[in-house]
Amino acid sequence: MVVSLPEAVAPEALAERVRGPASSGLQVLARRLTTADLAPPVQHGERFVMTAFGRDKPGIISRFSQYLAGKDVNISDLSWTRSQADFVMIAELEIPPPVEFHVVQADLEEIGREEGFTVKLQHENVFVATNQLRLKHSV
Amino acid sequence: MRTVTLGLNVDDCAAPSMETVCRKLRDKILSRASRLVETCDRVGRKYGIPVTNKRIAISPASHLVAGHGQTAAVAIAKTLDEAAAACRVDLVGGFTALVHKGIAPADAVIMASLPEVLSQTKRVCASINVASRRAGINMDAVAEMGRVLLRIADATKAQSGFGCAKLVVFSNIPEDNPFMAGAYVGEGEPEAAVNIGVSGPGVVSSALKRRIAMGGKLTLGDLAEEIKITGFRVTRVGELIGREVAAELGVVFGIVDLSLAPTPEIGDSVGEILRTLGIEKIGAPGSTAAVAMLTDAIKKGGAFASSSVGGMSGAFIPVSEDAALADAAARGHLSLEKLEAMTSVCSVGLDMIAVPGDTPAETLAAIIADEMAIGVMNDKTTGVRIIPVPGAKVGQLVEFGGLFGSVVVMEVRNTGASGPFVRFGGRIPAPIQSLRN
Repeated sequence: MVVSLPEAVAPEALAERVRGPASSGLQVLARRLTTADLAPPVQHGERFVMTAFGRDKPGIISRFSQYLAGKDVNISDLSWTRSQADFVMIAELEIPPPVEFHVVQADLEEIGREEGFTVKLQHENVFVATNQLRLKHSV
Repeated sequence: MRTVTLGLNVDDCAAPSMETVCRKLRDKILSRASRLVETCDRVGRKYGIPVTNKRIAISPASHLVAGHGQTAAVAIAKTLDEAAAACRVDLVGGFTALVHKGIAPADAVIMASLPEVLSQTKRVCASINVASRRAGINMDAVAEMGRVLLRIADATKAQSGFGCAKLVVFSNIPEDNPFMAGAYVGEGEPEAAVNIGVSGPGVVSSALKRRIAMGGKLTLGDLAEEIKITGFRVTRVGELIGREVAAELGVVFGIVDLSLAPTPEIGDSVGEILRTLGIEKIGAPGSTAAVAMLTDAIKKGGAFASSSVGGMSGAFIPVSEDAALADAAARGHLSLEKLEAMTSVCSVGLDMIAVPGDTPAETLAAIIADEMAIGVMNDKTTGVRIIPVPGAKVGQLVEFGGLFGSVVVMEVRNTGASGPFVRFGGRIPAPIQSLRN
């Protein structure tokens, strides 16, 4: 959450106020925004959409994210839902130019197989073309 | 993604000297199409969806042949062959004549040169339009094509008459069709355009199998819905790639052809879809209804996905190029007559069928006439791509190789019994459906 306050408050003090009494059990971290935070995010390479679904298990997100970090692939958006034991994860990835898309795709599918997950990786444009009714191009 | 076809109007290559025609033709094709293959490969890699075939189609070669003779027609074909090879394109279409109402001198030259052209070139594909809704059926042209087919088969007898696989005899030929062997650039088309074929029988049958595996009570309506949704997605992806290729080549994007076009690969088969829909033996009663439902559902999904649908847009049932259909023909489940019935509800006609080489020319012509009648009366495209295999008998397996696949020689019943009908010649008048104004 990004907040602006009418008076100067130290980040630690703010965190403590939000956290409340120690018994709340909340973990809160506050820090001051820098100019770097305010700059628009730099896009690293083409954008892809990864979808993975299977039975939920501990560490599944980290299994995928560790592999992606190792390939220097940025996760620019991540969401997941769980319905009973089924887990669905949708991630937006930025694959930097030297990394071959089909290598990442094959690796993710392989990790998926090991973990009992079905994984699909598509270029953002393919995802939009097949899932959005109205497209930008004209006839 | 089955095919990206760059359509080029080459009418501006016409000249009084054939050397000039060939030079201009080569220059034009090389200047416009030399980047086609690398562009398709690059865009295919970007999306992880390879473009299987990259092709070129030209405006009818008859326009360039006009005022010249058969030697010139062969020279043009060889130039096309070389130019296609230089662009690393496997097939080039447009060695075409439109003769549905009459055969002009240049058209006659094209038709007469086919045995030489299709035996001496590797990549050139020909098409002859002998019928249309507005003109009826030119039976003189149909009879001539019966004879020409036998001559082509003879000229390519070392390859089991393979030359005939590069020729389609059409009714209502589409002007923007990206699929071979019938692709050409019609009148009214842009100077250059990218037309694409999205294919995907394999995608459709896997989607259906997935849907069926999910269980529950399913009706044919539910399965049609699944096909429609898949058709929508496949078309959207095809158009995305086609538009990107067109933009990179600096030409306009033409059309998406929705046709399901099988390849001999196992699973990438229209026949397999029919099996998934519960037709255990392709050619059994119900096959026509199943293919009708399939074609219609694909069109509905595709028409909503894209505002640039064109070409043939149906389902292809090319026997040799579709493993399940070839298998059904080999087992005797699928007869020529049942195939003909199936073509009345889907494009594109009797396609890639091998028949005995001693089938009389008049019987071949009559087979063509029947298929043309289906096209003319129903106001749709139909085509015949039939190979009378020299020396082959019914049941013999013929190998064409690559995308053309292999097929057994099918039985033609009642051969030789249509001679008097064909010999009347002239034109079967345009049907009452032609008066639409």
